[in-house]
Order: sequence, then structure tokens, then C-alpha cells
Amino acid sequence: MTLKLARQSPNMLFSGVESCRALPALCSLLLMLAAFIDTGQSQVLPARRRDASNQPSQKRAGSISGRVTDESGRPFPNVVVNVRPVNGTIEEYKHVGTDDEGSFQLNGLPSKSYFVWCSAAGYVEDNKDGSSAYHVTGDFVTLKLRKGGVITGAVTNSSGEPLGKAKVVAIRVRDSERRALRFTYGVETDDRGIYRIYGLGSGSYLLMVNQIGEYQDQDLRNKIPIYYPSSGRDDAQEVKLSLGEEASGINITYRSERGHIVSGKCSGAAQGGSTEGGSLRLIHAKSGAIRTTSWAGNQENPSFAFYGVPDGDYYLIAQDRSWDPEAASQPRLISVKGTDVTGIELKLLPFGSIAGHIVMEVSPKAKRKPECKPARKASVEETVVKGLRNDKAAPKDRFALFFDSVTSGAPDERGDFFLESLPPGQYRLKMKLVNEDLYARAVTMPKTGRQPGDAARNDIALKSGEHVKGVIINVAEGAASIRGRVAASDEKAKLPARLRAHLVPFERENAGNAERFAETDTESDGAFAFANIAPGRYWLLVRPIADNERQEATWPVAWDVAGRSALRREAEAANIAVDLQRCARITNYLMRYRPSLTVTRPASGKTKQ
Amino acid sequence: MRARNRITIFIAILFVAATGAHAQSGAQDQKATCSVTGTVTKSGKPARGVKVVAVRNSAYEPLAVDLTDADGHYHLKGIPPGPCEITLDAPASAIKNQNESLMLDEGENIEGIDLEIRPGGVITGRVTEANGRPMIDVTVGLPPSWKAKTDDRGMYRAYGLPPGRYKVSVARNPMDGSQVDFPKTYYPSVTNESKAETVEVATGAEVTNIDIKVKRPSKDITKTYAVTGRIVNAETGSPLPKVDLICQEKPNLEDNQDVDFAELFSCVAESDSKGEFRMDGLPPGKYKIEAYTKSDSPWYGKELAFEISNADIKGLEIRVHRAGSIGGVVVLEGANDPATIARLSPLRISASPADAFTETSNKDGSFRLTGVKPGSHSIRIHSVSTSEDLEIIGIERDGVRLDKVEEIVEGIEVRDREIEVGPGENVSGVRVVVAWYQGVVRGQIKIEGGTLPKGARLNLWAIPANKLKQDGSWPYNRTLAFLSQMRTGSMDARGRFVIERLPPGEYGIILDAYLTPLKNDVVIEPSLTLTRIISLTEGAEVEITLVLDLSKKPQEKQQ
Repeated sequence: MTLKLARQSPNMLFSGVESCRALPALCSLLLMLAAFIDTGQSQVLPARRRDASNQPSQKRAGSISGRVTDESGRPFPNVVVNVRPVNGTIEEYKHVGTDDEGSFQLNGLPSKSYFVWCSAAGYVEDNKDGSSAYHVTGDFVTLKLRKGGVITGAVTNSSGEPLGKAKVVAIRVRDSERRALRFTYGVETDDRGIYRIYGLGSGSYLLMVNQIGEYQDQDLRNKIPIYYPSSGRDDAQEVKLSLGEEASGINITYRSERGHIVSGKCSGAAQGGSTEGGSLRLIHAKSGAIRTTSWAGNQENPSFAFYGVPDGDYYLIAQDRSWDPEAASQPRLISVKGTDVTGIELKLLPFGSIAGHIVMEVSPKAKRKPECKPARKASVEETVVKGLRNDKAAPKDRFALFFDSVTSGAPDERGDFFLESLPPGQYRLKMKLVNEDLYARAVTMPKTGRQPGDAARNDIALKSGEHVKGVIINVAEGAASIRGRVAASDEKAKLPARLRAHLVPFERENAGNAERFAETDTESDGAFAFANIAPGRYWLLVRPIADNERQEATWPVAWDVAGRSALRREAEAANIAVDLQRCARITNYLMRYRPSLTVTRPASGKTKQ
Repeated sequence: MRARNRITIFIAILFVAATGAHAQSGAQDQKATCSVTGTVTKSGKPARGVKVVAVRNSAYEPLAVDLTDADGHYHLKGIPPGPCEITLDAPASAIKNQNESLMLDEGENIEGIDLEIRPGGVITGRVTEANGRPMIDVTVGLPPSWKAKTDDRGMYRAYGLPPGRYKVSVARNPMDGSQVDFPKTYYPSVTNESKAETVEVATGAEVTNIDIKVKRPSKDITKTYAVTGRIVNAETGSPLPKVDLICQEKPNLEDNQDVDFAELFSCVAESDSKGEFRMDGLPPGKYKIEAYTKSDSPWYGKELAFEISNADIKGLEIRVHRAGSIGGVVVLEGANDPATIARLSPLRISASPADAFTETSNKDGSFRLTGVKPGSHSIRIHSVSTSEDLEIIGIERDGVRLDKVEEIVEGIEVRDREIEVGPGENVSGVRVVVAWYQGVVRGQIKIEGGTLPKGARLNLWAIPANKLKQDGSWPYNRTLAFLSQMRTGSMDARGRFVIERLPPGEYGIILDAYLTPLKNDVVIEPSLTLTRIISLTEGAEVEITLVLDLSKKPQEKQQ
């Protein structure tokens, strides 16, 4: 059960224009729900198909407790705190309200990895302080809620008369980190023609009106949505919004303008069609605005149509299910220019999956040196396996436009994990380990039938519909960690805004082993931390992050041969070696940054327990 | 499954309604259509440019639409006969839900269905917590049928109200997991309905400041209770250490409400060296507690109920019996060589509903599943290294087949694969036989005499030749064959196929072609079927080509 809403916004389902025209009342409900899911965390719902025989291991149950505060640090009473295991069923989803002191406690939780989030309408969770997304029993979790942004205004016709019952949709096209997002929130104007959308995350929004009144008719169906201030999509203005901010006077003048039809047929879905029905998404290439439509279940070759589409370039995808699709069409570029685009044929190709097993090489009875004693007992279910897709390797397939590149899952109590709904592509597996004394010692691909593209790394070239089974991940004890700070070369020099620290294996025999490399982005004050590192000797290297690069690259540079040799070359030149012995806990490591060459002066680099 | 289900239901409704609406508009041309005309007025004067619609079953895609002209006239044409409602898509400021229900006969033209836009009243106000924090996204009810929702300032605005008196209140929707429960509160901030004040709204008037303050009972998470007790061996009366217990809150099913399982409390504990256990943090409520039987806690007992009101529960005694076990050996039939076993190892055997699993010995395949409750349990064998379930072809106990044939339906054996374990019984001598043959049939399907129509499907089967009918034809009811998971092949888009893991022997390789799409997964007889007899020796691979001639008549056998 991979709760996979993380990779694919739940809101895409609700963001629909076409389906919302069918049932506005229900849709506004769905949109509310969407807003709620987004303001909380995009992982509210469980995935499907769990082996019913996999009963949760209940043995070492514990609790997760914590406190919720508002933007000024005051306790936030009566908000709902939710927990759900990364690997779990909906039965294991629990929630509890905070008390008068903003405190909460959830008891009786089996030892697993959990998502913990709170949902309070109008507020968004502030996790800028980098608090880990996964929690285990015994954790005390501090959640901060900040008032979301508000966009408000009136909808009028060209003579300035207010239009009530206008469906207004806010589409977040980018967040404040400039990442492309497509979350939508919808409301209806009141009797004065006024709308108010709240609880919005920071970023840039497009506002559109796609229907006036309760009933649609054939004529209205083919009218284009009108964007703020009063235009078709290409001249739409974005509204920038920060948390706690109110953008008022975002008035939209509605006018009636004809658009075109984008229609066609889908094939290749499951035999007889999936019972749930599938969905299509149409993304405007320039603005990122999205529209969705869906088809009902049990159709062999469902047809689809988007009405009222203005001229422009669009990306179109069909998938057999809104959540966790098992098949999707190759995203297609569609150009609408003055006429309808009909007869599009989308062939759905099956998605794949990766299954495997985690072996904990941990013996509870083993005698350990005092520095190697773990702070707490680890359970295999607390591990999180992340499947990371190398979107850069196949930019032309455009799946990255529609699906998140990270899929997480957690093993069951037997250590079996399963990542599903994976578009074809190049994948690697990454482990999130709870205890600092653990590290992923080896990742072994199935014994037959797989040829990794690069023998030195364990990536998976997943073909359409391929189900890779039998990946074995060995997790061992004795991991090392190193924490420290990157500082400018002298008092006057300034650090680049964004830096990334790398660990490069020192020994030549490990030079080709991608798993032995590690990288992490430094905090704004230059602080960095590497944990769960295989014991050994490493070089430490710091590089500036290019402006156009995203924070937290999902595909590390060491995952390519050229990247590895460049890292080694630079690391050798910089020549800052660190000895990370078994169970070493190095803290306060000070590293001086020089643009081309990086030299260190180990200030107080000492081994602590 | 709660949250998921709720959402699925919403979506399902959405789909059904959407398709329903489409179906209606598509069926229009079947019979002579009808028309309806009338006038729309506002304050006694004709209203221009108002959308009037004819709908059926309150669908949002209307059967007919018209805008009123300068005289307020509308003319709805092309309405299919049957029941329909004529309604205004009126301005938001008008009173909602005015409609005229009509039953239209074929070709009927109805005149004089006049409608009036009446200005609606408005009630606004603000809903806050006792501490002044706005309550956001809560529903304000104005019976009988009006509702409004609060925004981020706690403000609500109910509009389109007919004149009258309203009792305004806020309450939590029990289905809304995003809100912590609070007492239903009436204007002016009272929880006792008899103290509620009604708000009077005149035609088209706006009443403001109908504010409600919600006072919640003080809540403190530290006000929970503990349950303590002892686990004793029911036979000897002596206390038992290291026994797992599971405790669950019982849902209150009396008021027939939807149960939010995510809110129910559950807790586990383990008894200490004195056999004593303790569970903390239980909120008041009704609970059940029982031993959680599994390999490392091989005890079972009756479930015990208790209720916490305002005190700790002490001295619960839970009497348990030792659970049984299942021991035996797993045998790979077909390839019991060390190399194959090593490749599949470790093999994991599990029993359910017992929550027991173990890995078989690499040396001799032996196993013992412990912590098995009395009852019948089914066995599953899983190869950890290849992540696949292996096919069990037989289960014996002391040489007697346990997976007895329950019945034979149209030649197909329906087997019961369960092992019966008595109270505390240690079952031994179980032999689980797993099929691991290496025979492979692969080949190519060629289509002649046309191309496969869209939606066509091919199924490939390997049936032991001695089960085929005398003329070599398909012997079974296909529905049963599907259900009994008989050996099927897999094929790719180019018609390459493979059937693996076949024991040596003679087989009929049967290709079923379904040229019309299946409806709702109901298995029907194939349009064409083709049989080829092959002979397979141990570990052999046979390559065949199957030619499917589409020009031949349906149901004709092809060789």
C-alpha cells in the first residue's frame, strides 16, 4: 500500500471543469475536499490492493504525541491530527483532536513509519524547518499551522452587473519555490457576485470562471473559461500570494467566447475497462493550467471530449484510474488553432511495479560496542522505500508533467515491499531508515532477466507493464554519520546561495559503486548532515547548485558514470578526507568553501557517541 | 475502508449522474418531442435574459434551455416525452428551488407555465470559538432546507431565502473527519434548542450579525485511563509472561450512524514477567480485549468486554489456552534439486486466518508454524527471493490427503486446502507439495483470413490431454475453469506466447478467441476455438505455431 497521492495530486480529480459542469454542487464539495487534502498533506488516502493476509504486526505498539501551534507559536486547540502508516490500510488511518493546550497523543500504534499531518480548514502546515515527513512511535511531533492565503474578488459581466453562481477556480501553477504545481481550488460566487478562496499555499495562481449558473447546455458547454482579469488563457494574469496574505479585488469580467472541442478515443485499458473508470488531463503548455475529464467504468474503448478549449498548445494524457493508475497513455502534445481537434486516439500502456524484500541484518542478541548501541529497537516496517524516477533520462516521454517522480512504500512486517503504478523509465531505490545506526549495505537485483544499464549501480530500466520482483535490500548495522557546517573561505567572502555537499568514496574499489556516494543540500546557514552512511573512508566535497536546478535533486549526480568521475576528480583535488568508522558520529565539522577548490580546517571534528 | 469509500461513492455518483444525463440527451430523437412556453416575471414585470431549463430527475444537464426575450417569454423545444421539471436558472439573489413538475405526453405542447423571480432574503453572521478564533468550513443550518458554510473569517452568508422565520445553528457533520466534534449550537450561542431564538427575514431583506459562539467542553488529553490485569493459563491458573494482547474500542452502532473507524481507539500490550499487563491512554468508552495469537505469543482465549467511564479498570483476568501448531515439510515436485531450491529460497509458509508464518528449512524443507488458533487454516507458500506465490498441488497429513476433493463440477475438481487444528493441537506430518516443473510451451499465434476486431481477446490454456473430450475439444465449463485458475498462458501484442511450469505429459493447447468484447467480465463461449495436442518431456521446451483463421465460421473447430 503505497499511499500514492504524493506523486499525483488528489486534486487533479477534483480540478475538473467538464465533470464539474455536470454536477456543480457535488463538485464544490469535492473541491472543498481537495482543498482540505492539499492544505493538510497530500497523502490522505490509502492505496488499493493490500494482501488481506498481511495483518499488521501489533507487537511493539507505541504512541506518537506532539503539539500543534499557530503562526505566533500559541497552542492550536481542536484541530485534527492524522496519522497513517506509509505501508498500511485505511483501517490503520487514525485521527485525533488536539486538546486545549494544542497537544495530541495517538496510542496503540504498531512499529511502522507514519505520515503525521494536521488538517485545519483555512490553514496550511508549515514544515519549512525540515521536520521529517516520516515519523515512528515514540516521536514527539511539532506541527505548525499558518493561515493560508486568500484570494477574493467579484465576478461581473461586461456591463458590470454581478454574476452570482459563477464557478471560480484557482489554479496554483507554481509554489513559492517556483516548482510547477497544479493544485486547484474551486468555489461559487454568492448573491453579490463575490467569491472568496482561502487556505491557499504560497505561490502563483491563475483564476478562471468556467460556468455561470447551475445548468449547462450544449451551447454553454463550448464556451471557453475566462481568466482573470478578462481573457482567454494566453493573456491570463497570475496572482502571487504568500501565506497569511489576502489578495483582494481580483475581479473577473466574464464574457462569452466560443472555444473548440478536443476529443477522441482511448484504447488499451483493462479488459472490459476498469470498473472505476478512468480520467484524462489536459495541461495548457504555457500557463500550466489543467483541466480534467473522466469516463465511467466498464467501457472497452471510452471516448472523451473537452469542450470550450481556447487556442493554444496542450499536453494530454489518459489514465485508467484517477489514483494509482495501472495504465496510461504516452503524454501527447496537442495544438488547438482555430478548429476542433477530433479523432485523437490514445493508447493506454500498462504501468509497472517493483517488488522486493528488505533483509534486516540486525541481531538483537549481538554484542555491540557501547558506541554502536542503537537508541531504540528498529522494526523493518519503519523503513520507507522510495522509488525515484529519472525524469531527465526521458524528457520526451513527458510523464514527469503528470506524475511525481517519487513513489514511496513501506515493507510489511515480513520485509516485503511493493511499489506500484510506475510509468516506464529509469528507477533507483532509496531507503529512509529510522535509526541512525542502520545503512543500506547492498541492493541486489533479481537473479534472472535483468541487465542494469550501468553495472556499478542498481538502477532499474522499467519497461511498460513490467513487474520487477525479487529485489533484495540488505540493511546492516554500524552506520556512521557526519554533521557540520560549510563556511566561507574567510570573513569577507560570501557563500553561494545554494550549496550541495557530497560524500565520495575514498577507496578506489568503491569508486564505481553509486550506492557509496551520498549528497545533501545544505541549509541556508551552511549546515549539512549525512546519516546512515556505510562505514569507510570518504572525501567531502561541496558544490554550488545551479540556479535552474531544483532543490533536492531526485537523481543524484553520482548515479551516472560521468557524474561519478567528475565528483572523484574534484574530490581528489580538494582532498578533504574523512574517516567514517563503524558507528562514528562526527559533529561540528567545519568546512571552508572555496569556489573552485575547497579546503578544510577540521575545527572540532571529533568522534562522539 | 471509510474515507476511501466515501470518496469512491462521491465519484461514483458523479459518473452515474453524468452518464445518466448524457443518456437522456441521446434518447431524444426516439419519439415526437414536446414543447413548453411561458413567461417569467420579476416584481410583476417581465424579466429578460433569464435562463429557463427543462430537466429530468434533477440532472444538471438539461433537456432543453431557453433565455427569456424582452417580454419575458420563453419557449423550450425538443423535450422528450415523460416527466420533467421546468425551472429557472435564476440569479443567486432569487429564491432557490422554484419549479413546475409536468408529465409530457408524446408531441404535447404546453403553454402558460409562468414563473416568477422572487427576491430572496439573506442572513449573515460569524461563527467563532469561545476564544474568538473563527470556525472555518463549518456548516450553518437554516431548516428546513437552507445551508451556508463559514469562510476563513468564520463569516457565513445564507442567501436566496424565502421570507419567514429561521432557527440558525451550527453542527459538525459526523462524516467530516477534518473537524473535531463540537456541540450543536443555536443562535444566540445556546446549545439547548428550546433557548434558540428564531430570525425573521422579510421578502428580499438582509439580516446581519447573526453570530454564534461555540463553547466546547474543556478537553485534556491527559484525562485518559489505564487498564491493568493479569494473564493466566486457563489450565493451570499460573500467570503467563510475554503474551500479546489487543484491545479495541467497540463502535457504538445503536444510533445507526456511520462509524468513523479512524476515531476508534486500539491498543496493544504484552504481559510482563509476572503475567501482568497495563494499557495506558484509553479514553472513556466500551472496549473488547483478547489475546493476540501469533508465533511469538502462542496463546488464545475468549474476548473480554469492559467499559471505561471515569476510572481506571483494574484486575482484569484474561484466561488463555496454549495455541497449537502445524509442522511438516514442503516438497517441490518436478525439480527438487538443491539448485532450484536455492534459487527459490527462502520459502515462506504462512497460515491464515492464523497470523503465523515461518521460513522452511533450506536443508530438508521442514517447517513448524506456531501460534495457531483452533480452527481451519489455509496454507500459502511464497518464494521470498522471486516474490511469487507457488502453486500448491497437494497437502497430506501422515500420508492422507487433506486437500480432499469437495466436489467435481463438470470435470473440475474443487479442493478444500484447509488444515484443521484442534484446541492446542500440534499437528505434525503435514506434507505440502508445490509444483515446480520446468516444462515450457512457447510459440506464435498467426491470424489469417482477416484482422482481429478491436476489443477482441485471446485466451490460451494447457489442459492435460486425458481430460479433453474424445474429439479433442474443450472439456469444461469455462467460468469454472477461470475460477479454478487452470493453467493459462501469457502472450504479447505480437502473438508470442508462453506457458510455463508444466509437468511432463500430453496436453491440449487450446486457443479461445473472443471476437466480441466481454461485457462486465461475464465469461461467454468463445467465438472460435482451436486445439493442438503436444507431448512434453520433463524440463523440455516445445515451440508451436497456432494459426487462427478468422474466415472460418464461428464455433467451428480448427486444427
